[in-house]
Amino acid sequence: MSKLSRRNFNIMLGAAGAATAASTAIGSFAYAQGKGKVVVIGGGAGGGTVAHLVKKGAPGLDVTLVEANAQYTTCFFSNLYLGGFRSFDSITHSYDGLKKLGVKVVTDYATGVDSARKTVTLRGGTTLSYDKLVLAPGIDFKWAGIEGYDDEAAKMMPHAYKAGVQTQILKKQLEAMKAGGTVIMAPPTNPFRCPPGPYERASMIAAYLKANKPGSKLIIFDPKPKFSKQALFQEGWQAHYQDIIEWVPPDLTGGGVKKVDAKAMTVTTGDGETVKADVANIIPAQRAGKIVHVAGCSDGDWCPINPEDFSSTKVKDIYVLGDASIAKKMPKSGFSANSQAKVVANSVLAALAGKKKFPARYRNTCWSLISENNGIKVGAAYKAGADKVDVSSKFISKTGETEEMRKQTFEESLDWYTAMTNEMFAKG
Amino acid sequence: MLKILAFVIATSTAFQTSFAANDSEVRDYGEYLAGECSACHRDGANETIPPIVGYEVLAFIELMETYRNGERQNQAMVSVAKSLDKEQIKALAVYFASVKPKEN
Repeated sequence: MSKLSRRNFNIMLGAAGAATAASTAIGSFAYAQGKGKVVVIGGGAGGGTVAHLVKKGAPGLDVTLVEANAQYTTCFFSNLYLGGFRSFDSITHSYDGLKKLGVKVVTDYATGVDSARKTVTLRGGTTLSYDKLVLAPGIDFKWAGIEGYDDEAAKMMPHAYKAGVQTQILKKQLEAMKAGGTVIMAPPTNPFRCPPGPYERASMIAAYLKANKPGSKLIIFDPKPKFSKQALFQEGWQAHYQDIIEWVPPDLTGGGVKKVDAKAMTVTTGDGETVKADVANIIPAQRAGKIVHVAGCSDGDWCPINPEDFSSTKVKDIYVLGDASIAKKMPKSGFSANSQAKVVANSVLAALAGKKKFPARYRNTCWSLISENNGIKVGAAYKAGADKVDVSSKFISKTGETEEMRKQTFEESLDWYTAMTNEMFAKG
Repeated sequence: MLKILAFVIATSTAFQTSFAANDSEVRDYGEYLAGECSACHRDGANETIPPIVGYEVLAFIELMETYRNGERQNQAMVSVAKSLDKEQIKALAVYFASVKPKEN
């Protein structure tokens, strides 16, 4: 710091200190207010963060988080587990922090919403009433897009696109595969969760094959002609996995994988070619989790929202955020959901705890790992437009960056992961 | 350098004139805006991404200016700093100065 600004700064310190003490006292009195019931469905990047921030902002509010899994494995960084750069335990989290904060965490599955009576019913038989309902269920799969692929087939040809058991199946299959084998990957059609996700996954699978299964191939039958961070991924594949990864665009296959036979372990592309796989990672097309459709919040596959606070345009007193929402240019990512959660929490606290509602600000950054210590990122800032979320500025890693820069980008992602999961699960 | 000084002085002047009137509001706004920071920054120990709390007010303002003027070039931080106006940076500075770093 320069001498002049340091002097300025010292003058200011006293004032800031005194003001801070005063504002903390006033602030915490206001925070303690708040009466009402908030129910959050889905304990991931969106729902976990909302539950945390609402309870922290107004401890007087009754906050219930409904999540089907007692422990949560994050989809982000699950590719690093496949590549051998991260343990399964390190991407699996408990809800102890949220419980300790006073959030009621219910391990159950929400099956019904009565928006007139303002109640939610759970599979276990419980009925919860709410003043504000937050739906953050993530994605469901549209099984019909690939003939022969369903929940059962996914046990043999894992999608691994909801992290947990599915990720472990894919990892075990890769470990059990013979050297010189063939892995086939079918990325989903747009729009889908985590746009760089399938391509980071291809990189991580290739890293594993390169180190452990010499002579193996990874063939990607993509239904899309282009993908997120394409130039960066393809530069990395050329440098590290030239003999392993083969990315096949849809015009060469008649639109990618159209049919699978999970027992025979074969996939058939749109132009009728059938290929035998040792491991097949089939990621189907996606839609918002079932509960938003039950609640009447969806318009087609996803949910329209008001861009200023992600409240549903269709049903009063319900918010829909994260993957399930239509956030336009803002990608379906954990970072996006966490960012939206902050605006939703502010809106809920304004409605139920007298807190000031501030203008919405949204942001996303997606880091991807190509090879060891070789990280890239893409990100943007967003704002609430008149009828949709608009991009205000964006950035992306460059091709040809130094190893040092790439290592720093990867290391940033490690810190981000810790900070993000601390917020989701009220840890640290 | 002159640009930084002009920014710091302008910001601190705005800070002095408006602060007494709505101090808790400024901090509350800062706390809300800080949600954008806490996706990556923690209160305590970090490795690559530095902790963000405990900065003195003008040190924080000056640091943000180094991302706005190109002196520091991390793409994510340049994007964040350029998306904030002076009032917002001030609110963040006040908020972060009020939070004690965790020792972990």
